[in-house]
Amino acid sequence: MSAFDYVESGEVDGRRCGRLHLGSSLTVAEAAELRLALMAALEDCAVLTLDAAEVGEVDVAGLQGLCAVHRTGVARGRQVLVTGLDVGPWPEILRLAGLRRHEACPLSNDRKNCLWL
Amino acid sequence: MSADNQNETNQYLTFKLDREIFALGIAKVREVLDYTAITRVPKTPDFMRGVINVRGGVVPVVDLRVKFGMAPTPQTVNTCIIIVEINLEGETTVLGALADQVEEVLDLDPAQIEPAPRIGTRLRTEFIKGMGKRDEQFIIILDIDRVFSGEELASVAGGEDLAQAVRS
Amino acid sequence: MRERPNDAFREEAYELLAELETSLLELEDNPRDKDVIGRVFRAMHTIKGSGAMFGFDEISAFTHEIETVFDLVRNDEILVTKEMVDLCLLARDQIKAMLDAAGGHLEVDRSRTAHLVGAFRAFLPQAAPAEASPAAIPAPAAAEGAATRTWRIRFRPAHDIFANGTNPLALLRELCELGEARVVAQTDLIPPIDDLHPEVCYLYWDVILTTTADANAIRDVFIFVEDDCEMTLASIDDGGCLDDGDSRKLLGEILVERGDLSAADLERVLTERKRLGEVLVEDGLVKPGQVAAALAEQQALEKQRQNRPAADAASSLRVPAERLDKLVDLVGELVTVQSRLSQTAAGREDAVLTAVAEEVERLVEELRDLTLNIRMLPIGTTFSKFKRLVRDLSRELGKDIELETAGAETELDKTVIERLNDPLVHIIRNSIDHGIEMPEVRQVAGKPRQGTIHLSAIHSGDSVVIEIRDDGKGLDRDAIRRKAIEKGLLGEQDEPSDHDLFLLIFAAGFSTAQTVTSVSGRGVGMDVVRRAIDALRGTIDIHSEKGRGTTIRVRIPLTLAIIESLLVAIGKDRFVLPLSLVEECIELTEGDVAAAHGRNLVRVRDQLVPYLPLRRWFAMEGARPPIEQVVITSLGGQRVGFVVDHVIGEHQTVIKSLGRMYRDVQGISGATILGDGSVALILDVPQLLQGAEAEEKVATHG
Repeated sequence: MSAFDYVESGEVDGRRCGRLHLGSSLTVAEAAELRLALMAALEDCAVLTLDAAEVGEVDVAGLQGLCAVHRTGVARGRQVLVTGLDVGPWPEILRLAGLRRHEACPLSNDRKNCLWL
Repeated sequence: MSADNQNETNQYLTFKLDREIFALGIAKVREVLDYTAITRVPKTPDFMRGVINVRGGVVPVVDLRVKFGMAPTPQTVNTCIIIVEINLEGETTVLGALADQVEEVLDLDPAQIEPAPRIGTRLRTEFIKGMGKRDEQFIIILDIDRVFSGEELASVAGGEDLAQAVRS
Repeated sequence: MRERPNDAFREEAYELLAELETSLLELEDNPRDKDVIGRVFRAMHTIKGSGAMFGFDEISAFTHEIETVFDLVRNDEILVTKEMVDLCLLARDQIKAMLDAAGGHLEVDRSRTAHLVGAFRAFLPQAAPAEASPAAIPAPAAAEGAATRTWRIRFRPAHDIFANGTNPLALLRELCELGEARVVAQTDLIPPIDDLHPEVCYLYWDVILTTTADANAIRDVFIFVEDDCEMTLASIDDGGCLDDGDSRKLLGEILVERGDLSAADLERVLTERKRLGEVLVEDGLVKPGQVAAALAEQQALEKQRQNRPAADAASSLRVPAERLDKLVDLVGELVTVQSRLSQTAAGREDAVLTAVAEEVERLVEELRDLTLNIRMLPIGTTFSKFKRLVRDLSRELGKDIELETAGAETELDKTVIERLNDPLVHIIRNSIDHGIEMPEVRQVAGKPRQGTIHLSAIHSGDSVVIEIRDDGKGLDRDAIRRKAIEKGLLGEQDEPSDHDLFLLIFAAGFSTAQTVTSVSGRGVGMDVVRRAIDALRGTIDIHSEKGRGTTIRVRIPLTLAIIESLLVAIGKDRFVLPLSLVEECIELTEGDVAAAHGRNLVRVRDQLVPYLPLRRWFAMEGARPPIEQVVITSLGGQRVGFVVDHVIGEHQTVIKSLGRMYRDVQGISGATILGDGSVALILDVPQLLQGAEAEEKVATHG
């Protein structure tokens, strides 16, 4: 079984929803696999929720992957959300990496549409 | 400190020990205090009278008369303590010297000062910087650093063995 | 009164050398530890860099050689060997010698320098002739030390930075640890997911760092990725200017300064009325991330301005030691004046004066505690020196000894720490030389080959207890006894307890060493220890078990400046004793004296305690009163009484030196000024105790 587990999670307002479980590690070692899983998931649904609650280890490659899928989604009129960023290493990682909504994303000047907390 | 060599002034503080008049270069003198009770430090030579409080510091007081072989300085209304800064092996130390009476600050032209006589004084000549004169009276100018030179002080504490001190 | 930059460099370099020594010793135990290797490298790098900056070219050039070797080490090209650590330690000593020389115009042994340089070059692969002069030394942006400044750092990793295992987040974390940091990621290079190369680094960062660290320290963070990233560093505020409220920077200026926006574009946009950041982004002139970073910078500056007073209070400050000494002196005087005030107030029935006096007393007490606290330093700095000592000496002797330390954080007065150094060195040397056996001997005795010396410090009331424990062969009771008798320290018939007997090793001229070595055994060591500890008003205790080891416990008062004491009178003279040594006071009547049949012993409950009549001991004039007081003291488990006319009470004693003239007076360790302005003498209890012992011995032997 893949570390990245995708499930359909029904429809909201006629939009197909999907949920991708991110495994315990989002590092450069998994980056290629992550990219494929993200691409597949984004193909499949209009509202993609990334569940990051189980992530224990993450590096810049992982962060970039999530950023990339988010901006691709936005460009295609799809919604990409991420949950579980308030647990585990996330708060510290996001602080260190300087990824904060309203600061970093070129797509989110309106401050509503950033992947990150 | 080399300062007192360079800034050597011609001014001297004169004072009396018994009936003789002595003088100290003014640069050595920090202040003159009235006599105050002196705390005796036990088991020290007689010329070391003890310590006093000078503005929060503890300063030893010496009895120059005893040091120079005279009778101890009696306490009178005129007795003073001259606070001097002396140079001991390169370190500046403050101490008080008892004087029977402090007289005046005197200008002495270096030309008027004669070298210490070899005879005719009770003092060891190395303690004397020179002899001045005022109204036909000789003034002994002290070399105060020499008076308290390291060798002299070392004998002060003189390694008295504790156990022996107790036995005696 | 500003320190010259040279002094600042030397001071900093000495600190770095101390750290370096610790790191090297650590490296010896863990030669593969990347962290430690990094620390060694950075220390060398900083010494080299600042050395060159301040004109210490010799130091810089020399350090460069070691740095070169460590550069290879951290790149895994060569491995750390014991030999390398040895050389590094010698090199460290040599750098120190060079620093010493720079301070005192001494000469450095240049042949030694050359020898070491040669040895370091031998580590280089194919022994490439190393560059003759130091490699380019990063031009530091600023020379000043500890001021808080705000820096703008742009960190742009190379695309392939992941390939060599570098994690940029780790670098950011290191940067964040230097101070207060705001990190803003720039994500504009991240492509759509389909075009994403998973192993390429697209992110780059702007960091606004408010820190006391200097440019070099910041650069050092990136030292391992120098070739794998672009890093620009600029000071955007040097602390001092911040008071100038009008110097607040506008967002636009910041962007222009960073090169993210041209001045002309800024000019044009400023004529519009919208919020600048929005306009700039809308017009595509700058990217949102850049605005965000600039905003962060603006916020950091404003925050720093607001926080300045608080931040200054929280940060540390370098103060010349003499100024602290002066402060302690002044507080001492204040304590004296205050006690005079309290005394005066007590003598008058004036409620207002009494209230004021009490208030002053409270404040002075607080001020005193605070002031004495400022001088407190952790004892750990001395501990690390001992590590080196143990290492070098045990090798010289062919022994295998480990020094374990505990309680390095225990704080003691600065002067006390300095003066503790020598006695502790003596004790530890003694353990190495005489205590711990050769490895083979230990093995035969069923002990581990490696011996252990355990050094610990712990607070206990108003003192610190320092314990030096070894697991060596213990003290040889019979040898000590023989020696003591031979030296006349003990009578033939005396059968002292182990404890009393062991204490004799601290007596003057005592040494049981069979051979005289360079280490100890000249028969002075332990005697010196005793005197040094006495001078600190401390006590020594010793326990030893044959075959199991020896424990020496040194108890030292926290501070030398002000102590609680007991004020007593003999005639009209007054004396004080450290209260920490006083157990109780009892009366001594003429009847008691008669009952003791000429022996100076007094019964305290069930124990006979020897006493010393101070009036007689000090050969003071005057007759003793019919009822005297005995102050019973306890020192190192020994109780001795001191007979005085009467006990006045407790007194807060500001210790004053008696000065040069009275430095060798027996039984008196200093003086203090009483409330009425007169001087009281401080009794030297340990020294008097020896006197009392001698007296008692004389009495018993007839």
